[in-house]
Amino acid sequence: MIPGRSLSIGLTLFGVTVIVVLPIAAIVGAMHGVTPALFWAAISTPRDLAAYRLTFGASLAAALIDVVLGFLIAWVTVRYRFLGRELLNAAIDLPFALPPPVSGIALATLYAKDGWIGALTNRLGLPIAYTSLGVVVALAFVGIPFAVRTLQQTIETLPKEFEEASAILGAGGVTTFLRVALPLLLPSCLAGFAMTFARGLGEYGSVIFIAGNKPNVTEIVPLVIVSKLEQYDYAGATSLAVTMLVISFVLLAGINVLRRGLISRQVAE
Amino acid sequence: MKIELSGVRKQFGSTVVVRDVDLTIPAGKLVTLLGPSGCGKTTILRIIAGLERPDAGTVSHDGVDVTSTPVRSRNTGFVFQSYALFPHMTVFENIAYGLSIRHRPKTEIAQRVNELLALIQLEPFAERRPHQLSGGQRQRVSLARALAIEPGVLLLDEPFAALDATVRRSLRRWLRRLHEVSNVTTVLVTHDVDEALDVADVVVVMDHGSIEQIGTPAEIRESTNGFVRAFIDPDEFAILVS
Repeated sequence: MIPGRSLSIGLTLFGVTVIVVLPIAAIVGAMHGVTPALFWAAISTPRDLAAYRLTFGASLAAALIDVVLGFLIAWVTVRYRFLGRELLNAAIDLPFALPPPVSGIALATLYAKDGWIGALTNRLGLPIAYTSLGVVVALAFVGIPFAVRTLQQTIETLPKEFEEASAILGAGGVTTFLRVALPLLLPSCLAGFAMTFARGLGEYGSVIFIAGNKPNVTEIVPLVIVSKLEQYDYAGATSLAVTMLVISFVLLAGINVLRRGLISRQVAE
Repeated sequence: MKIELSGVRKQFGSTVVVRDVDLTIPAGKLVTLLGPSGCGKTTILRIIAGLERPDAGTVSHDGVDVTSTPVRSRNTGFVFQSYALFPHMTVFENIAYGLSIRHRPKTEIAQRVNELLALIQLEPFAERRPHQLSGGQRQRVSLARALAIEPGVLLLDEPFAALDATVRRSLRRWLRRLHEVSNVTTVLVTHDVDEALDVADVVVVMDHGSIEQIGTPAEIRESTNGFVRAFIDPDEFAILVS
């Protein structure tokens, strides 16, 4: 046993408390004086409900897109050597580094009706900027590094022998992928999904530039919270924040339980 | 199935791993490829299976050139040193894999898998997952999985290297008996001299990508080849050079 067990656990608890628990406790603490009736009124207006739908719906859609696309990017960058691989690999992290408003403005420009992509989709009758699709695009953009990085790590450590054994037993590439590689990578897909999803729920800076922010239509929850704050409606803002906190926590915990279940079926060592 | 390699050459980067090797593996025999690590024995095994493509030379199975036949069409059985059992499948599903992707009827698959489970004496373990088995048990499952598709040749890459000495010895005797019953052509790669001489009909001693000597265990024991003598009996070699 490495010495320092209680010391390291103590430091961990201290760090987690200062960095994570206290800020969250402060949000809950700000609920002081909010009566249940006030709370319910603040989180159930039609405007709130529309914002929940958009935030959770768009985050879910973006997370699904990112896991599928991220899987492909991760697979290709780990398994194949090609010109520009390192460049692609470095570019994946850019959404991490860009200030969210910069991403938002860039995406809005690209997807606006006279933008490179926007002009094209508008002609097809599918406007993206200033619609809920714009929200999905922004969330998919800021979330993609999470999905790629999570999956790359697992694909790197996936022993080649599994695929070789499958091929020797007579399986073609598609069968091997579906029956051997994909099931083994599923826990990582779920982890990537959870992180991308969580990132989407909280994203604010990039979305507000491309969403249009029409109440009841393209307004995300974080924006509703900020606008309540601007109107000095602290109780309303806090009520919404706590609601988001609880729903997000339950969803993420659920995903994590599912992932643990999948892993425990596979490995014990 | 008879395996023939002629003029097979393989290099990784600038390192030549297999140096123009000609080798015939007679049908129905148990042949061991013996040599120090890095001598190219595993690469030869992988070339026979199709997991590596030779840079030069040809591989034939029963006289048919399979040099460019894809892995999945070669009908070989392969046992990895790491077992490579699919961790998300049960023992039963692992053994059934090759038959199930060939879309054999369920009853036929079940019958064949149960026969193999009996053969490896692991019938009560059908529904276990690989991580619930010991190393020796995993290796037997891996062998059963390879045998399920009735391969023309069984290829074993250091199959007992990760096991402790007692298990290793009993498993290799068991493998030898299995071979006498099934008579499937078998190539076993090992760096363990005792193991190679104990189980084989024919031993192929390799060094630096080339074959030093091919012979029966008795012939290898009486070898006059300098490398072979030094490799199979390092103590005697030490006396000779001192």
